[in-house]
Amino acid sequence: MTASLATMISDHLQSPVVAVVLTWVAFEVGRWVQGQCRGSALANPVLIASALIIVLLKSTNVSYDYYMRGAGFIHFLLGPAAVALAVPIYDNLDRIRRSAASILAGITVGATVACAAAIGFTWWLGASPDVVRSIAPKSVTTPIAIGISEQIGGLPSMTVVFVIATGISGAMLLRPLFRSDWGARLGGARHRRWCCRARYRHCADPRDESDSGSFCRVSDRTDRLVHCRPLASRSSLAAVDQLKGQSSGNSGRLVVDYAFPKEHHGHLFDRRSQSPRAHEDDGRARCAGVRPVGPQSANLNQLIGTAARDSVSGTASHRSYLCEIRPAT
Amino acid sequence: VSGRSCITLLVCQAAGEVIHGVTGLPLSGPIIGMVLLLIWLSLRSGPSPELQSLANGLLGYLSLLFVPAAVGIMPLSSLLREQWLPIVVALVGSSIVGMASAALIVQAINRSARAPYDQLALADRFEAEGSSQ
Repeated sequence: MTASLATMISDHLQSPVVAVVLTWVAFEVGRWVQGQCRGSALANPVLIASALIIVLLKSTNVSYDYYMRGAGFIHFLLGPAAVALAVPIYDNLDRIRRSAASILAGITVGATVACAAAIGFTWWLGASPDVVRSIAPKSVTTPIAIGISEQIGGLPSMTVVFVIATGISGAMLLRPLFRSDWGARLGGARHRRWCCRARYRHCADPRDESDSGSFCRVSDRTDRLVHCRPLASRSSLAAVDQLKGQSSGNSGRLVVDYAFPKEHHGHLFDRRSQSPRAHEDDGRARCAGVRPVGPQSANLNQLIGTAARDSVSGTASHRSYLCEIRPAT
Repeated sequence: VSGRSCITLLVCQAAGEVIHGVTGLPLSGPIIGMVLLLIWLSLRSGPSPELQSLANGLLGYLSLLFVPAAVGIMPLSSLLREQWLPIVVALVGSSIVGMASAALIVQAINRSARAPYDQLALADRFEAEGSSQ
Protein backbone atom coordinates (compact mmCIF):
# COMPACT_ATOMS: atom_id res chain seq x y z
CA MET A 1 0.00 0.00 0.00
CA THR A 2 2.65 2.52 1.03
CA ALA A 3 4.89 1.36 -1.78
CA SER A 4 2.15 1.87 -4.35
CA LEU A 5 1.38 5.25 -2.83
CA ALA A 6 5.04 6.14 -3.13
CA THR A 7 5.17 5.21 -6.80
CA MET A 8 1.92 7.05 -7.38
CA ILE A 9 3.32 10.23 -5.87
CA SER A 10 6.63 9.93 -7.66
CA ASP A 11 4.84 9.33 -10.97
CA HIS A 12 2.78 12.48 -10.63
CA LEU A 13 5.18 14.77 -8.87
CA GLN A 14 6.45 16.29 -12.05
CA SER A 15 3.00 17.39 -13.02
CA PRO A 16 2.87 21.03 -11.96
CA VAL A 17 -0.39 20.86 -10.09
CA VAL A 18 0.70 18.00 -7.81
CA ALA A 19 3.95 19.71 -6.84
CA VAL A 20 2.17 23.02 -6.32
CA VAL A 21 -0.55 21.47 -4.16
CA LEU A 22 2.03 19.47 -2.21
CA THR A 23 4.12 22.57 -1.55
CA TRP A 24 1.14 24.63 -0.55
CA VAL A 25 -0.28 21.95 1.75
CA ALA A 26 3.13 21.48 3.39
CA PHE A 27 3.33 25.24 3.88
CA GLU A 28 -0.12 25.38 5.46
CA VAL A 29 0.92 22.55 7.78
CA GLY A 30 3.98 24.62 8.70
CA ARG A 31 1.82 27.65 9.39
CA TRP A 32 -0.51 25.58 11.52
CA VAL A 33 2.42 24.23 13.53
CA GLN A 34 3.69 27.77 14.04
CA GLY A 35 0.25 28.78 15.25
CA GLN A 36 0.28 25.90 17.71
CA CYS A 37 3.68 27.07 18.96
CA ARG A 38 2.23 30.55 19.62
CA GLY A 39 3.94 32.02 16.58
CA SER A 40 7.38 31.05 17.80
CA ALA A 41 10.15 32.08 15.42
CA LEU A 42 11.70 28.65 15.84
CA ALA A 43 8.72 26.98 14.17
CA ASN A 44 9.37 28.63 10.82
CA PRO A 45 6.73 27.49 8.31
CA VAL A 46 9.20 27.50 5.42
CA LEU A 47 11.60 25.24 7.30
CA ILE A 48 8.79 22.91 8.38
CA ALA A 49 7.32 22.77 4.87
CA SER A 50 10.64 22.12 3.18
CA ALA A 51 11.56 19.47 5.76
CA LEU A 52 8.24 17.71 5.09
CA ILE A 53 8.79 17.86 1.33
CA ILE A 54 12.40 16.67 1.61
CA VAL A 55 11.26 13.69 3.69
CA LEU A 56 8.58 12.91 1.12
CA LEU A 57 10.98 13.23 -1.82
CA LYS A 58 13.60 11.08 -0.10
CA SER A 59 11.11 8.38 0.82
CA THR A 60 9.71 8.23 -2.69
CA ASN A 61 13.12 8.54 -4.36
CA VAL A 62 12.18 11.60 -6.32
CA SER A 63 15.00 13.95 -7.27
CA TYR A 64 14.91 17.68 -6.62
CA ASP A 65 15.03 18.48 -10.32
CA TYR A 66 11.99 16.30 -10.86
CA TYR A 67 10.09 18.10 -8.10
CA MET A 68 11.23 21.48 -9.39
CA ARG A 69 9.60 20.87 -12.77
CA GLY A 70 6.29 21.36 -11.01
CA ALA A 71 7.28 23.56 -8.09
CA GLY A 72 9.09 25.86 -10.50
CA PHE A 73 5.75 27.59 -10.98
CA ILE A 74 5.80 28.73 -7.37
CA HIS A 75 9.48 29.59 -7.61
CA PHE A 76 8.79 31.74 -10.65
CA LEU A 77 6.51 34.02 -8.61
CA LEU A 78 9.51 35.13 -6.53
CA GLY A 79 10.48 37.59 -9.27
CA PRO A 80 7.12 39.42 -9.37
CA ALA A 81 7.00 39.27 -5.56
CA ALA A 82 10.36 41.03 -5.33
CA VAL A 83 9.06 43.71 -7.72
CA ALA A 84 5.88 43.98 -5.62
CA LEU A 85 8.00 44.96 -2.62
CA ALA A 86 8.00 48.42 -4.20
CA VAL A 87 4.36 48.88 -3.11
CA PRO A 88 4.89 48.62 0.67
CA ILE A 89 8.06 50.68 0.27
CA TYR A 90 6.05 53.36 -1.52
CA ASP A 91 3.34 53.21 1.15
CA ASN A 92 5.90 53.83 3.84
CA LEU A 93 7.98 56.35 1.91
CA ASP A 94 6.95 59.16 4.25
CA ARG A 95 8.05 57.24 7.28
CA ILE A 96 11.26 56.15 5.62
CA ARG A 97 12.01 59.73 4.64
CA ARG A 98 11.33 60.98 8.15
CA SER A 99 13.90 58.69 9.72
CA ALA A 100 16.09 58.46 6.65
CA ALA A 101 19.29 59.22 8.54
CA SER A 102 18.96 56.42 11.08
CA ILE A 103 17.56 53.92 8.59
CA LEU A 104 20.28 54.63 6.06
CA ALA A 105 23.09 54.57 8.59
CA GLY A 106 21.67 51.59 10.50
CA ILE A 107 21.14 49.49 7.41
CA THR A 108 24.42 50.46 5.77
CA VAL A 109 26.49 49.75 8.85
CA GLY A 110 24.47 46.73 10.02
CA ALA A 111 24.34 45.03 6.64
CA THR A 112 27.97 45.74 5.83
CA VAL A 113 29.21 44.54 9.20
CA ALA A 114 26.98 41.44 9.18
CA CYS A 115 28.07 40.56 5.65
CA ALA A 116 31.74 41.14 6.40
CA ALA A 117 31.48 39.16 9.63
CA ALA A 118 29.75 36.25 7.87
CA ILE A 119 32.43 36.16 5.19
CA GLY A 120 35.16 36.55 7.79
CA PHE A 121 33.89 33.77 10.03
CA THR A 122 33.36 31.28 7.21
CA TRP A 123 36.74 32.05 5.69
CA TRP A 124 38.48 31.81 9.01
CA LEU A 125 36.89 28.44 9.80
CA GLY A 126 37.67 27.14 6.35
CA ALA A 127 34.36 26.87 4.52
CA SER A 128 34.35 26.26 0.79
CA PRO A 129 34.05 29.30 -1.54
CA ASP A 130 30.51 28.50 -2.66
CA VAL A 131 29.35 28.39 0.96
CA VAL A 132 31.05 31.74 1.60
CA ARG A 133 29.29 33.19 -1.44
CA SER A 134 25.95 31.78 -0.29
CA ILE A 135 26.25 33.13 3.23
CA ALA A 136 27.33 36.65 2.27
CA PRO A 137 23.87 37.94 1.22
CA LYS A 138 22.05 36.35 4.16
CA SER A 139 21.09 39.60 5.89
CA VAL A 140 18.72 40.90 3.22
CA THR A 141 15.19 39.90 2.36
CA THR A 142 14.95 36.45 0.76
CA PRO A 143 13.90 37.30 -2.81
CA ILE A 144 16.72 39.84 -3.03
CA ALA A 145 19.20 37.50 -1.32
CA ILE A 146 18.41 34.87 -3.95
CA GLY A 147 19.17 37.38 -6.69
CA ILE A 148 22.46 38.39 -5.08
CA SER A 149 23.47 34.78 -4.48
CA GLU A 150 22.88 33.90 -8.13
CA GLN A 151 24.77 37.03 -9.13
CA ILE A 152 27.93 36.29 -7.14
CA GLY A 153 27.98 32.58 -7.89
CA GLY A 154 26.59 31.20 -4.65
CA LEU A 155 24.02 28.47 -4.16
CA PRO A 156 20.60 30.17 -3.98
CA SER A 157 18.97 27.25 -2.13
CA MET A 158 21.59 27.46 0.55
CA THR A 159 21.12 31.22 0.77
CA VAL A 160 17.39 30.76 1.38
CA VAL A 161 18.11 28.49 4.32
CA PHE A 162 20.74 30.91 5.65
CA VAL A 163 18.38 33.85 5.40
CA ILE A 164 15.72 31.97 7.34
CA ALA A 165 18.31 30.87 9.90
CA THR A 166 19.40 34.51 10.25
CA GLY A 167 15.82 35.52 10.90
CA ILE A 168 15.45 32.84 13.55
CA SER A 169 18.76 33.59 15.25
CA GLY A 170 17.98 37.30 15.09
CA ALA A 171 14.60 36.77 16.72
CA MET A 172 16.18 34.70 19.45
CA LEU A 173 19.14 37.01 20.06
CA LEU A 174 17.22 40.25 19.85
CA ARG A 175 15.64 40.11 23.27
CA PRO A 176 18.80 39.36 25.23
CA LEU A 177 20.75 41.92 23.19
CA PHE A 178 18.38 44.87 23.48
CA ARG A 179 15.97 45.52 26.23
CA SER A 180 13.91 48.16 24.51
CA ASP A 181 13.31 50.33 21.48
CA TRP A 182 13.50 48.03 18.51
CA GLY A 183 12.53 49.96 15.41
CA ALA A 184 14.99 50.52 12.64
CA ARG A 185 17.78 48.84 14.49
CA LEU A 186 16.44 45.53 13.26
CA GLY A 187 16.89 46.66 9.70
CA GLY A 188 20.53 45.96 9.12
CA ALA A 189 21.36 42.58 10.45
CA ARG A 190 17.91 41.11 10.15
CA HIS A 191 15.89 41.16 7.01
CA ARG A 192 12.46 42.10 5.91
CA ARG A 193 10.68 38.97 7.07
CA TRP A 194 11.38 39.79 10.66
CA CYS A 195 11.11 43.51 10.23
CA CYS A 196 7.68 42.74 8.95
CA ARG A 197 6.98 40.78 12.10
CA ALA A 198 8.17 43.62 14.25
CA ARG A 199 6.08 46.02 12.22
CA TYR A 200 3.12 43.78 12.76
CA ARG A 201 3.74 43.93 16.46
CA HIS A 202 3.91 47.69 16.47
CA CYS A 203 0.72 48.30 14.63
CA ALA A 204 -2.61 49.18 16.06
CA ASP A 205 -4.72 46.74 14.17
CA PRO A 206 -3.37 43.20 14.25
CA ARG A 207 -5.13 42.36 11.01
CA ASP A 208 -3.90 45.37 9.10
CA GLU A 209 -0.36 44.73 8.04
CA SER A 210 -0.13 47.94 6.07
CA ASP A 211 -0.63 49.93 9.26
CA SER A 212 2.96 50.19 10.30
CA GLY A 213 2.68 53.24 12.46
CA SER A 214 5.46 53.85 14.87
CA PHE A 215 2.74 54.84 17.30
CA CYS A 216 0.32 52.33 18.61
CA ARG A 217 -3.18 53.68 18.50
CA VAL A 218 -5.18 51.88 21.14
CA SER A 219 -8.34 53.55 19.97
CA ASP A 220 -11.67 52.48 18.54
CA ARG A 221 -10.08 50.23 15.96
CA THR A 222 -9.28 47.66 18.61
CA ASP A 223 -12.29 45.42 18.34
CA ARG A 224 -10.71 42.31 19.63
CA LEU A 225 -8.60 41.19 22.49
CA VAL A 226 -5.01 42.14 21.94
CA HIS A 227 -1.91 42.09 24.00
CA CYS A 228 -0.18 45.40 24.06
CA ARG A 229 3.20 46.11 25.46
CA PRO A 230 4.78 49.53 25.39
CA LEU A 231 8.31 49.56 24.08
CA ALA A 232 9.54 53.10 24.01
CA SER A 233 8.65 54.33 27.44
CA ARG A 234 11.26 53.32 29.92
CA SER A 235 8.92 53.55 32.87
CA SER A 236 6.43 51.24 31.19
CA LEU A 237 9.22 48.81 30.47
CA ALA A 238 10.05 48.80 34.14
CA ALA A 239 6.41 47.96 34.82
CA VAL A 240 6.58 45.18 32.28
CA ASP A 241 9.61 43.69 33.93
CA GLN A 242 7.91 43.92 37.26
CA LEU A 243 4.84 42.11 35.94
CA LYS A 244 6.97 39.44 34.39
CA GLY A 245 8.71 38.94 37.69
CA GLN A 246 5.37 38.52 39.42
CA SER A 247 3.73 36.27 36.91
CA SER A 248 6.55 33.87 36.20
CA GLY A 249 9.87 32.97 37.67
CA ASN A 250 11.86 33.65 34.54
CA SER A 251 11.38 37.04 33.02
CA GLY A 252 13.04 36.02 29.79
CA ARG A 253 10.64 35.18 27.03
CA LEU A 254 7.20 36.03 28.29
CA VAL A 255 5.69 38.55 25.90
CA VAL A 256 2.24 39.18 27.27
CA ASP A 257 1.73 42.10 29.56
CA TYR A 258 -1.09 44.39 28.79
CA ALA A 259 -4.41 43.15 27.63
CA PHE A 260 -7.68 44.89 27.16
CA PRO A 261 -10.79 43.01 26.27
CA LYS A 262 -13.36 44.19 23.78
CA GLU A 263 -15.79 45.55 26.31
CA HIS A 264 -13.02 47.62 27.79
CA HIS A 265 -11.95 49.56 24.77
CA GLY A 266 -14.46 52.34 25.05
CA HIS A 267 -12.94 53.43 28.30
CA LEU A 268 -9.34 53.30 27.34
CA PHE A 269 -8.91 57.02 27.52
CA ASP A 270 -11.00 57.42 30.63
CA ARG A 271 -8.79 58.22 33.55
CA ARG A 272 -11.21 56.55 35.93
CA SER A 273 -11.25 53.26 34.07
CA GLN A 274 -9.89 50.20 35.75
CA SER A 275 -6.32 49.29 35.29
CA PRO A 276 -5.82 46.56 32.75
CA ARG A 277 -5.39 43.04 33.77
CA ALA A 278 -2.01 41.49 33.57
CA HIS A 279 -2.07 38.11 32.14
CA GLU A 280 0.05 35.17 31.68
CA ASP A 281 -0.29 33.16 28.50
CA ASP A 282 -3.50 31.34 29.32
CA GLY A 283 -4.59 31.76 32.88
CA ARG A 284 -5.60 35.32 33.52
CA ALA A 285 -4.36 36.62 36.79
CA ARG A 286 -5.41 39.97 38.06
CA CYS A 287 -2.34 41.90 38.84
CA ALA A 288 -2.85 43.10 42.36
CA GLY A 289 -0.83 45.77 44.06
CA VAL A 290 0.15 47.60 40.91
CA ARG A 291 0.14 51.34 41.29
CA PRO A 292 -2.07 53.42 39.00
CA VAL A 293 0.72 55.83 38.05
CA GLY A 294 4.46 55.83 38.07
CA PRO A 295 7.13 53.46 36.89
CA GLN A 296 5.58 50.36 38.41
CA SER A 297 2.16 50.99 36.98
CA ALA A 298 0.17 48.70 34.74
CA ASN A 299 -2.18 51.46 33.73
CA LEU A 300 -3.12 51.46 30.08
CA ASN A 301 -3.63 55.20 30.11
CA GLN A 302 0.07 55.55 30.43
CA LEU A 303 0.44 54.15 26.97
CA ILE A 304 -0.70 57.54 25.79
CA GLY A 305 1.84 60.30 25.97
CA THR A 306 0.87 63.76 27.07
CA ALA A 307 4.07 65.35 25.88
CA ALA A 308 2.60 66.19 22.47
CA ARG A 309 -0.56 68.27 22.79
CA ASP A 310 -2.78 69.69 20.13
CA SER A 311 -1.84 73.35 19.90
CA VAL A 312 -5.42 74.58 19.46
CA SER A 313 -7.45 72.53 21.90
CA GLY A 314 -4.65 71.59 24.25
CA THR A 315 -5.82 67.98 24.37
CA ALA A 316 -3.45 65.07 24.51
CA SER A 317 -2.89 63.26 21.28
CA HIS A 318 -4.76 60.01 20.86
CA ARG A 319 -1.51 58.34 20.15
CA SER A 320 0.24 56.06 22.50
CA TYR A 321 3.76 54.91 23.02
CA LEU A 322 5.38 52.53 20.65
CA CYS A 323 3.82 49.20 21.43
CA GLU A 324 4.18 45.60 20.71
CA ILE A 325 0.77 44.28 19.83
CA ARG A 326 -0.39 40.81 19.16
CA PRO A 327 -3.81 39.22 19.07
CA ALA A 328 -4.61 37.38 22.26
CA THR A 329 -6.34 34.45 20.66
CA VAL B 1 -6.93 40.47 -9.65
CA SER B 2 -6.82 42.61 -12.72
CA GLY B 3 -4.63 41.78 -15.67
CA ARG B 4 -3.15 45.23 -15.76
CA SER B 5 -1.57 45.01 -12.33
CA CYS B 6 -0.11 41.57 -13.13
CA ILE B 7 1.35 42.98 -16.31
CA THR B 8 2.75 46.00 -14.44
CA LEU B 9 4.74 43.70 -12.17
CA LEU B 10 5.90 41.46 -15.00
CA VAL B 11 6.83 44.39 -17.24
CA CYS B 12 8.89 45.92 -14.44
CA GLN B 13 10.62 42.60 -13.86
CA ALA B 14 11.24 42.10 -17.57
CA ALA B 15 12.56 45.65 -17.92
CA GLY B 16 14.80 44.97 -14.95
CA GLU B 17 16.13 41.81 -16.59
CA VAL B 18 16.78 43.70 -19.82
CA ILE B 19 18.57 46.53 -18.00
CA HIS B 20 20.59 43.96 -16.10
CA GLY B 21 21.51 42.19 -19.30
CA VAL B 22 22.40 45.33 -21.22
CA THR B 23 24.25 47.33 -18.58
CA GLY B 24 25.62 44.45 -16.54
CA LEU B 25 24.57 46.16 -13.30
CA PRO B 26 25.48 43.98 -10.32
CA LEU B 27 21.81 43.75 -9.29
CA SER B 28 19.40 41.04 -10.33
CA GLY B 29 16.49 41.75 -12.67
CA PRO B 30 13.68 41.69 -10.08
CA ILE B 31 15.56 44.15 -7.85
CA ILE B 32 16.01 46.61 -10.71
CA GLY B 33 12.34 45.96 -11.49
CA MET B 34 11.44 46.89 -7.93
CA VAL B 35 13.30 50.18 -8.23
CA LEU B 36 11.58 50.83 -11.56
CA LEU B 37 8.17 50.17 -10.03
CA LEU B 38 9.00 52.46 -7.12
CA ILE B 39 9.91 55.24 -9.56
CA TRP B 40 6.74 54.56 -11.55
CA LEU B 41 4.61 54.69 -8.38
CA SER B 42 6.20 57.98 -7.34
CA LEU B 43 5.56 59.47 -10.78
CA ARG B 44 1.87 58.59 -10.87
CA SER B 45 1.42 59.14 -7.13
CA GLY B 46 0.57 55.74 -5.79
CA PRO B 47 -0.47 52.26 -6.83
CA SER B 48 -3.95 51.57 -8.17
CA PRO B 49 -6.22 49.64 -5.78
CA GLU B 50 -5.78 46.54 -7.94
CA LEU B 51 -2.00 46.73 -7.82
CA GLN B 52 -2.15 47.34 -4.09
CA SER B 53 -4.29 44.26 -3.50
CA LEU B 54 -2.19 42.15 -5.87
CA ALA B 55 0.99 43.18 -4.07
CA ASN B 56 -0.56 42.55 -0.66
CA GLY B 57 -1.78 39.13 -1.77
CA LEU B 58 1.55 38.19 -3.29
CA LEU B 59 3.57 39.42 -0.31
CA GLY B 60 1.12 37.78 2.10
CA TYR B 61 2.21 34.48 0.64
CA LEU B 62 5.83 35.51 0.22
CA SER B 63 7.17 32.79 2.47
CA LEU B 64 5.34 30.09 0.50
CA LEU B 65 7.38 31.15 -2.52
CA PHE B 66 10.62 30.30 -0.71
CA VAL B 67 9.67 26.69 -0.11
CA PRO B 68 10.79 25.26 -3.47
CA ALA B 69 14.11 27.07 -3.15
CA ALA B 70 14.56 25.89 0.43
CA VAL B 71 13.90 22.29 -0.65
CA GLY B 72 16.92 22.80 -2.89
CA ILE B 73 19.04 22.27 0.19
CA MET B 74 18.32 18.55 -0.29
CA PRO B 75 21.02 17.84 -2.88
CA LEU B 76 23.41 20.07 -0.90
CA SER B 77 22.97 18.30 2.44
CA SER B 78 26.45 16.78 2.32
CA LEU B 79 27.94 20.27 2.01
CA LEU B 80 26.02 21.36 5.10
CA ARG B 81 27.10 18.29 7.02
CA GLU B 82 30.77 18.86 6.24
CA GLN B 83 30.80 22.57 6.99
CA TRP B 84 28.24 22.98 9.73
CA LEU B 85 30.67 24.59 12.17
CA PRO B 86 31.73 27.60 10.07
CA ILE B 87 28.12 28.03 8.93
CA VAL B 88 26.63 28.08 12.42
CA VAL B 89 29.39 30.32 13.80
CA ALA B 90 29.02 32.72 10.88
CA LEU B 91 25.22 32.86 11.11
CA VAL B 92 25.08 33.52 14.85
CA GLY B 93 28.26 35.60 15.10
CA SER B 94 27.50 37.89 12.21
CA SER B 95 23.93 38.43 13.48
CA ILE B 96 25.23 39.57 16.85
CA VAL B 97 27.93 41.80 15.40
CA GLY B 98 25.62 43.25 12.76
CA MET B 99 22.72 43.98 15.09
CA ALA B 100 24.98 45.47 17.73
CA SER B 101 26.71 47.80 15.28
CA ALA B 102 23.41 48.89 13.69
CA ALA B 103 21.93 49.53 17.13
CA LEU B 104 24.91 51.60 18.25
CA ILE B 105 24.82 53.73 15.12
CA VAL B 106 21.06 54.34 15.30
CA GLN B 107 21.32 55.13 18.98
CA ALA B 108 24.05 57.66 18.32
CA ILE B 109 21.99 59.33 15.59
CA ASN B 110 18.81 59.40 17.67
CA ARG B 111 20.65 60.89 20.59
CA SER B 112 21.86 63.79 18.48
CA ALA B 113 18.50 64.46 16.81
CA ARG B 114 15.53 64.06 19.13
CA ALA B 115 12.18 63.10 17.68
CA PRO B 116 9.39 65.70 17.68
CA TYR B 117 7.24 63.42 19.77
CA ASP B 118 9.64 63.11 22.61
CA GLN B 119 8.24 59.97 24.11
CA LEU B 120 10.91 59.53 26.68
CA ALA B 121 10.34 62.89 28.36
CA LEU B 122 7.25 61.60 30.12
CA ALA B 123 8.98 58.38 31.05
CA ASP B 124 11.80 60.35 32.60
CA ARG B 125 9.34 62.32 34.67
CA PHE B 126 7.69 59.17 35.95
CA GLU B 127 11.03 57.69 36.72
CA ALA B 128 12.04 60.79 38.68
CA GLU B 129 8.81 60.57 40.66
CA GLY B 130 9.32 56.90 41.32
CA SER B 131 12.87 57.26 42.59
CA SER B 132 12.01 60.14 44.89
CA GLN B 133 9.47 58.04 46.75
